[in-house]
Amino acid sequence: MFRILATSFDYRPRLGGVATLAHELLRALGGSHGVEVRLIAPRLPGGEGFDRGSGVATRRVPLPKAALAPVPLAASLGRELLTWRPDALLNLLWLPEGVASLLLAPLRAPLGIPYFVYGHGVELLESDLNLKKRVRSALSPAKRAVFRGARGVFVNSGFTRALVIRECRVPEARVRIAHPGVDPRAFFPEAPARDLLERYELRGKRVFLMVTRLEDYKGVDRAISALRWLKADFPEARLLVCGEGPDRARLESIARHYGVGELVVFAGAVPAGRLRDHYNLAEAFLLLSRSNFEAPNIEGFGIVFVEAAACGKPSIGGDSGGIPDAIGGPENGWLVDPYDDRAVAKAMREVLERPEEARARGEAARARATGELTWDRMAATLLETMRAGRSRGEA
Amino acid sequence: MCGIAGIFLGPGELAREEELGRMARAMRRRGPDAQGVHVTGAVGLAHRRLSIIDLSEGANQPLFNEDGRIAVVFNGEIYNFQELRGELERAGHRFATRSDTEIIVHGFEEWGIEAFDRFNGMFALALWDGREGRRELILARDPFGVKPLFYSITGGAGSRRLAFASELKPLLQLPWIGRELDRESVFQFLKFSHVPNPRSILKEVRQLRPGTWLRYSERGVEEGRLAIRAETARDHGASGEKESRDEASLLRELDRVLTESVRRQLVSDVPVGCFLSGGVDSSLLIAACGASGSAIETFSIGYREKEYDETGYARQVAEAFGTRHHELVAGPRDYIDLVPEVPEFFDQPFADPTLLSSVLLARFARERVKVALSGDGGDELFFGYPYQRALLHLWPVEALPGAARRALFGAAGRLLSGLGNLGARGRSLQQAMKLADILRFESQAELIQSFIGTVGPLPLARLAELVPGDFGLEGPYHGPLIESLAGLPRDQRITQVYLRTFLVDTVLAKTDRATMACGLEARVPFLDREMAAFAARVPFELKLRRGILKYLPRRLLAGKFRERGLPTDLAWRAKQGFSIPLREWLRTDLKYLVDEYLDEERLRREGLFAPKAVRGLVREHLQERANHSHLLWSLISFRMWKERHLS
Repeated sequence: MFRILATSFDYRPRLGGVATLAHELLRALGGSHGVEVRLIAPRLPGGEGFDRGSGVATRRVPLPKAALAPVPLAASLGRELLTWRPDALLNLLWLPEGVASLLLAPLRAPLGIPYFVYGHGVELLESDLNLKKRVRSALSPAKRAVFRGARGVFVNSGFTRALVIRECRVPEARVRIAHPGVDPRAFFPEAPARDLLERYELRGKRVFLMVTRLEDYKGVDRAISALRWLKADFPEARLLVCGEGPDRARLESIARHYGVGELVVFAGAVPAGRLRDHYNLAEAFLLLSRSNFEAPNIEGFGIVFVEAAACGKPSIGGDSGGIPDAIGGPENGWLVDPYDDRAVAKAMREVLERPEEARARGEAARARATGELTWDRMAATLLETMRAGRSRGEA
Repeated sequence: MCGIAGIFLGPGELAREEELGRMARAMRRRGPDAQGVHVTGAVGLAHRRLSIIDLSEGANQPLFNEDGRIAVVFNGEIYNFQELRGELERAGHRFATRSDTEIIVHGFEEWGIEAFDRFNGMFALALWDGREGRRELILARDPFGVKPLFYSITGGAGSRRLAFASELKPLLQLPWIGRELDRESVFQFLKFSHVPNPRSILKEVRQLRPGTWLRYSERGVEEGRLAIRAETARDHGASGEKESRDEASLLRELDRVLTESVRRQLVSDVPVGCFLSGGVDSSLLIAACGASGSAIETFSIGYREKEYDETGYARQVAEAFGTRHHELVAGPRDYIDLVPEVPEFFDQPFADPTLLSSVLLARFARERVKVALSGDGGDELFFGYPYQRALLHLWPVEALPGAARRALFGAAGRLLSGLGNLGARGRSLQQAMKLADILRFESQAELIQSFIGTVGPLPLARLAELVPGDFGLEGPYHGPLIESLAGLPRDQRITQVYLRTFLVDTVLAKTDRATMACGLEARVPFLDREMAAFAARVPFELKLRRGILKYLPRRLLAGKFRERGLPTDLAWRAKQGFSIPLREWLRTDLKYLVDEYLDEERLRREGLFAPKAVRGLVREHLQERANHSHLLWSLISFRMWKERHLS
């Protein structure tokens, strides 16, 4: 039995990319033959209720903010190391769990337990824009030490791989791409849900979908402004935006400014259980994230592209960060300049003018997602590396 | 109000009706009532008509002389056309319409270019003289530039082409006119919030200077000045002729001249109204309308926030003079919803934020009338701006040795900036810093230009950081104008500079475009020829007296108010002006425009403005360390304009 002690500071019932990835990956790892997984996660409201049906053996511990959490987390991890004797530590973030693993070096070394760390992208960059970010920047040496000290580093995309190598000077051979995946049992094509067609007044409309937290770098603004170039020819085009966030008021103003307010539907936050229904309303999925290395804001991968693909939807993605990896190639969608709303509109126009081509790309995207990008495939990739690392025998 | 356009192509080329039609349609807002196109060989004229006088189709333009060899397209009004018509009829000319436009062709036939000197009115016109041996196109613009006129001459001898239009949009329909920006104009736009004539925002397009004409033919290009311009610029005592009459007789004359001017400008075959802000100029117009025996419709715009609202004064004036008064109370949403349309109305970048109020008011008035009188020009003729007074009072600082003065005010500026960020409470401090900076001027012209348009808005050196390139510091701008006024007393120099820059490029441009946007004709009785000549004769001590701006008109108004039982204080209150809370809005409701149009990466890709310098301004403004609202608004306006017209 191969034992993995995992930690994820960002975990369900929180929403978002890292929390989703952590849960799905650990569930898949736990379901792998000959593998036992235990997870240490922060105590959160609703956490224990979630854990009961999550399929992951989870221990919740009270933790302060990330920068202060490594020490108490190390204490919890240390107890598990001594009592459970895992074969590997898997850290879903470098802070706090990666640092905790580093602090535990005196304990891990004699026990021969290596640690692995996953890199998502944005957390590898530093910024001095506000106090919180400055504090994180001050921990930069610890970050480099965590990545350099790991037996193996997993990353979500080629873009993030380059970041890890550049920012943390990790030897290339030790960094392995493990694309996040999708659960094909949860995301698959089906007919549009009638209640949603009514609720959003989308009957007879041609829908583009965005699923994203509403933040200024996500490119919802460019999707909105692109509509002005389509409005005259395709008055039935609609942009359905699922998600909430601090940028909503600005986006609504922009929609009014460009005279496309009536073409944009802000759906608000969508419960996880109805996400598939939303993907299935659309002809294409969009996410036009822009990289801002100063803020920093980047899209390390974009699991939503894979979820959309599993539902048979082609994607129009901003050519930045790890999005090219998430889309996979022109056969699955379109990569566009995320600053250029004319380029965005051009891709949207292709979907509208050539729906059969869009459908073909959607089918190719689905074949790739369900074939190459499942959580089981990701778990297998990680397991292969962790087992090999364990067999080398040193911490 | 109408729109004119046309082309004069090179030898062997033929003008095409279809192209002229496109030019005309590009300015259909200026003239929703009719469109006319005339093509003859290489020459084409186009016109969009807003019918005001002689509503018949026979008065549609282009209009011709008796034998059809002289044709004109015209935007404006000639108020003394009845007198001139009589004179021309006596000379044997036969008129086919009742329109004032027809005066131009017959007058030109009779008197040549000097005909324009006889016009009392506002005009931008293009006249084709197709007579044997002439074959020339003449462009002309009224002395104050009430009506706009853009033109472009491209190519060399043998392949030269001319195009002209009331706006830029029709010229942009022509593929042979380059779209290249004049980067110097971009810089000056940031400095003044308008593009100073005779430049335009495009390299290949210029604005015809007010009070000038241009004669274009295959033989060459010739330019000249109208004699009226010299008459109105005799100016303000420029010739040394001053009236020695006493205040009482000048008051009586002002009353008479204004009443006459308003009477002339009420001539119309459609309903006429009047903008009424409650300030001195518009109130005087109402009083003069009453004296002309006209009950008139008046229009005011108010703001929901008391601080910016002047409607109470306007209402009092309207009630006292018995007008049919209409009030529009606008809220932030009305303004904000209008913002996206701005580049459509202002097809050359323009950043005076009060244009939003002007557009809302014009639309409101257009629901009831087709012509509206406006008080434009009163401030320029009678020394009505606080900035003019400030400039006059600061001028003596020039006497200090330059190096010492610059060191002194430089130190003062540093001291003030050392006081740090006081947030919103630091506005006086920010103004004091701006003043300290202005007083470090290198030349008299630089001092004067600081007070044209937006005061400041930034030291030129910092402004230059926004627009990288080998230009921007060649100023002071308007240097030749200011030099040409040397020898005149200071007050006259200030008056002339305002008349020839701010009046034409901001005040009149704003009124023209705002009213044009909804097919409303604005008329400006203060810029009547007789009124301007009178204002030029009024001694300065009756314009600025004991610190009171525009003293003589106020005195006249106080008398009118007394007669109507209104408190005379109303006539003496300080100029309020209509402003909008742009400073706050750019931090709140309009912040999205800052994000949208001043995004660093998009600026970097465009390559016109320095992204980091812009970001510095944005941060200072958002953090309330400075008020850069005018400059940010200029940058936003420019980028909106460019996206609409050049992309």
